[in-house]
Amino acid sequence: MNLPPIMGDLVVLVPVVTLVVFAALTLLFGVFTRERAALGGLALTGVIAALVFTVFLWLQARAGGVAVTALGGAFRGDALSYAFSFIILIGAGLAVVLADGHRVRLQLDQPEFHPLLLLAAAGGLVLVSAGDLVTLLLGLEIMSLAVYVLAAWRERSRVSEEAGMKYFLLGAFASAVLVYGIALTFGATGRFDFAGIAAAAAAPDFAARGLLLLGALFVLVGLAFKVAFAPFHQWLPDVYTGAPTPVTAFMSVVVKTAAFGALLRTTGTLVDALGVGPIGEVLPAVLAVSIGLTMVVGNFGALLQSGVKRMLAYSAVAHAGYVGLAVLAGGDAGVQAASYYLFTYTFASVAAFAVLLSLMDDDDRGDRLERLAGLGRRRPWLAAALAVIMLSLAGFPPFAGFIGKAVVFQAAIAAGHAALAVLGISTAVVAVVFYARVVMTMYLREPDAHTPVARPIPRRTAVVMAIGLAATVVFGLFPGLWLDWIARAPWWSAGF
Amino acid sequence: MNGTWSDPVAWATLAPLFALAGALANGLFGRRWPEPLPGIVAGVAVAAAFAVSAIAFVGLIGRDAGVALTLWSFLPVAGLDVSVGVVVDALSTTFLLVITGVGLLIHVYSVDYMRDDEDNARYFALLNLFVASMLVLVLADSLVLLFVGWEGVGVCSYLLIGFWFRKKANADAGRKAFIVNRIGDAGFVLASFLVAATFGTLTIAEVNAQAGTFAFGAGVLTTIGLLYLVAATGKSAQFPLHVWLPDAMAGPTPVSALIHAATMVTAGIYLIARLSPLYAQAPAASAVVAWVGVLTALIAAIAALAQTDIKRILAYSTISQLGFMFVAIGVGAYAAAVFHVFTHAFFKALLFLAAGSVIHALHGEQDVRRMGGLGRRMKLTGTTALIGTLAISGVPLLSGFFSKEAILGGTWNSTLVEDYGSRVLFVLLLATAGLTAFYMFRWYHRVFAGPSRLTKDAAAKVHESSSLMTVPLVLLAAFAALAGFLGLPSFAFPNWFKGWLAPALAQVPTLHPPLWVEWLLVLASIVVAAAGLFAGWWIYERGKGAIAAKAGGGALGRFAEGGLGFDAAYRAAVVGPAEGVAGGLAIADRDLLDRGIAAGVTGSSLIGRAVAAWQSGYVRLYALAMFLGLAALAVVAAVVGGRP
Repeated sequence: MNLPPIMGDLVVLVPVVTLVVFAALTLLFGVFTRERAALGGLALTGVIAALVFTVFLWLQARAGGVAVTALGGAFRGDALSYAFSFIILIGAGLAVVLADGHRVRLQLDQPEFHPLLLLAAAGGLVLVSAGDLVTLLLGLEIMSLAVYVLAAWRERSRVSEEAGMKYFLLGAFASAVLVYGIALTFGATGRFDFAGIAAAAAAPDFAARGLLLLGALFVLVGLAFKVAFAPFHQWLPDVYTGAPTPVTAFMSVVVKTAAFGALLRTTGTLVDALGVGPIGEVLPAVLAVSIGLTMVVGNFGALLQSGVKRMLAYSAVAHAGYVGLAVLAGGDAGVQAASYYLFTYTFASVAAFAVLLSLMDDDDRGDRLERLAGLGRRRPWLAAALAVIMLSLAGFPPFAGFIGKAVVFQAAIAAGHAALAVLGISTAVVAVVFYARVVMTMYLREPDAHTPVARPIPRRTAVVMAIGLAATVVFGLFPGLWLDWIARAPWWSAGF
Repeated sequence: MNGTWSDPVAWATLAPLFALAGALANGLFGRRWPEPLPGIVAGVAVAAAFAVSAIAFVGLIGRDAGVALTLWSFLPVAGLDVSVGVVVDALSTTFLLVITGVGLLIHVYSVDYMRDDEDNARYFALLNLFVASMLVLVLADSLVLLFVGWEGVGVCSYLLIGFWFRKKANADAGRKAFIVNRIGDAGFVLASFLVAATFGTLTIAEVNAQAGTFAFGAGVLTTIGLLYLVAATGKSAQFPLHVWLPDAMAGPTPVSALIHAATMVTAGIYLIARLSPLYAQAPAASAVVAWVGVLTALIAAIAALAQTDIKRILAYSTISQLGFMFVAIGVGAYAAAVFHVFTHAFFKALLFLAAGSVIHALHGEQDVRRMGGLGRRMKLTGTTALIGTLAISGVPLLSGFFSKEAILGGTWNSTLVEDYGSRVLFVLLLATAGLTAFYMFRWYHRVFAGPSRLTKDAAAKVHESSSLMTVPLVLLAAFAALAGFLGLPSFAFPNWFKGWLAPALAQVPTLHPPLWVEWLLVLASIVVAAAGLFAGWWIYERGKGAIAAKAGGGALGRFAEGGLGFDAAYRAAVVGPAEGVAGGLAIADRDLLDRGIAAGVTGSSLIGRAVAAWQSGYVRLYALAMFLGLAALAVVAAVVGGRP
């Protein structure tokens, strides 16, 4: 076997290290300056630098056509990790810019805010690049600890503190389950790394399949909590609603994408390891039930909300269900479909929160639907942007949300989950109701005395909106830009 | 025939983009622009589209094959590659020129016509979007993309017909157009499913190529043909779905001109012409097309006799002329059908814009009974309207004469529908041609000639319209008069138009009767046109309309005025029951859905309530839910995994 030199391996870590270094820089810089605006710029620079390195590594890996590992296989540079790192960093960059425009107004401008965002993103990169379960846990905790704090960031805001506390308590519970699952898996196979688990389970004398199943289910639950599969989703509506809105936007893209990256890798490995037969059927079946429940709960839950932020929170649950279809489908097609869905969802979600944020009060409240009344006439650009985003999230062509649904449904059907795809399509019809309600309120409802006067939008927020909107349209019309790009190198599941 | 961007012909791909850019610019910024700017921007956009169309036309002359360009792959659905591509060939280029050329004149005219409307920018944005949709429709290389344009046209027509939506009748007319079109759209979708299932592709060129490999008259081709006919009858206002078009004049008059001449209604003709190799293999479907066409032509011509609204007469005349085109396309005379689209675009746009000029001068008066003698006060409008009238009536050497003659000759000589009564079709069509001349003479005479029946107030204010409105009239009149020479009767003269279109259309063999028969057919069409005009002159000029007044007052006259009772029948048979069902649904909606959604307190949204109840807000209960989920999984693992 021809091993690459150790330094060549470590190059894979550069994006993560970049984020951590910039987190430290931003933190230190915050001690010496009162110029808080510069911190946002520094943080954004860090994200962009990490993005550039990721793209560079990605292109190099494509040219080479092989996955690269570092630290003895604990850290992987393959198509999945690069694609999901790319999406995470795009989401993080947009969220940093979005937060920056409202930082002062919402009293978020303590110097520790940006470092935590960067650390959370770094944890996300570790999560999607993990080559073994211990690294995966490490990444999950780096990310989660930062986000727990961020969710509770707003001082003297009970909802924010409640959100942080809830997230932390339940997250700790989920982590405990995950650790237990990892231990059981190790007990069954004697390995932590995915390649080793697969190899051990493939051995003809492998006897601990039952134990491995239990471990796999617990690992699945630990990750299902992060991506908010029902019945492990209940923290999400409360935390998304209570967290400061820029943090909610960050969570809805970075945390979700990272957790899905880990879930795709883990389920892919474990489903294969469990093999065929009655034991092998359990994990997909459990996943299918959970995903079906997630789509129902998310969409029907959103139906009843009168607050847009909470509606978007439930809709995040629903979208997790749709990405879940791709996870269930598995294989290259599943990973590609999931990556397209999350990539375009990143833009749509951040843009939606950007519009919402521009309409909310300085105490980070005021997301009631009625406040959008007559927005079509009062703020035609803002309304048009939100309308397109809503239609895309609802899955209307020609926007990206339509293609996203089409590819995940297609992947699910191709993998033999037609019934679940039908359920997905049916619940998507329900989703039209609450998304369309936003559009209708903006254009058809007359504003009354309680409708607040919209404030001017910070330029940075407008940029986020414009990018989100443009991406939603462009990747809807030209889905091949992403789909062809990621499909060209068939080394998704290669070489665990 | 794969093209590249270096080929100027391919630049026609940009035409819809220009129109779309105009629509976007007007839609987003137009409201803040000063008065004529929205119109100018919209006009420039269409002019640019016309320019690239003209380049494509020049580039295609003398070339057999068109240019196909696959722009990008939209969605690779399992086994069915849905890509976005265009075809620029003789057929699409002809339509491009008509749409953008006539469309441009209508835009110019609109600048003045809509000058005082406060929603100017919305108007021009929609007008551009309408043109853009139609351009997408004719350029599409696949039925999927064609459907995108097809729907876009439908939506724009809805928005433009109901442009002055504050008046309920206008909004209703918009809705009627939309709903009737939906029926056609259902046919389109069903047909496309069948095409995908039969041919495994939705690319038009491949469908056409494969259709040739089927047996002549194969059942599946007939079914597809009939379903696309349903689509075409909706869009092109053919019997029995023609009822929306007479109401569609509720929109601003230039919109009527656009709908009737350049866009929308010709879409059905285009669709069938585009699929002509398929229809040429399906004689039964073709025969139905022809018979639908002739019935429509006749019914609409009769209804046109009794109308009193200046635009409604023209609307029925459009339906009737579209019937002529359907006959042509049904009997296999595809080039003749497209030729009639071409000539009709000029004289019908001319007639509508002339009507608009009159309405403008009379400040909204549309009843021909309160007009008359206007030609003396509005010389340019009157003269150009006369040219349009004579052209549509089929007076020799004007454009309508040649295109109508081509259709009549094609019908007589058809082999495709020879077994389905082609000679009867011919006779009925010939009679309709006579009626056309008659009702058009009536239209002209009631509006522009004879004694004035205007009120004193109105008469004092009559004025010729501004040059922005009259210049398009003059240009259209020139084309209406001369365009026919491009398609001289092919049995005796070189027919340039037919040769130009030949590579893009299916060629169906025709009968070749002796030359004297062909000349006799020409003579017949001259005679019926003359007879129609003479009858009109006899009744309205010499008899002062007394006979007509007596006939019009009778039951038969009222029947014709009501459009032969179609609206009444639909109201009784479809709209009434539908309203009953809708009323029931509305009650269900209020009582079940709305309450459940809005309040979530009562009603049927049980799942939503269950979710809400589950979401208690207490961490301990959430943790319990997670624990229970986990425990359930552990039990499953123990049961399944414990087994050997």
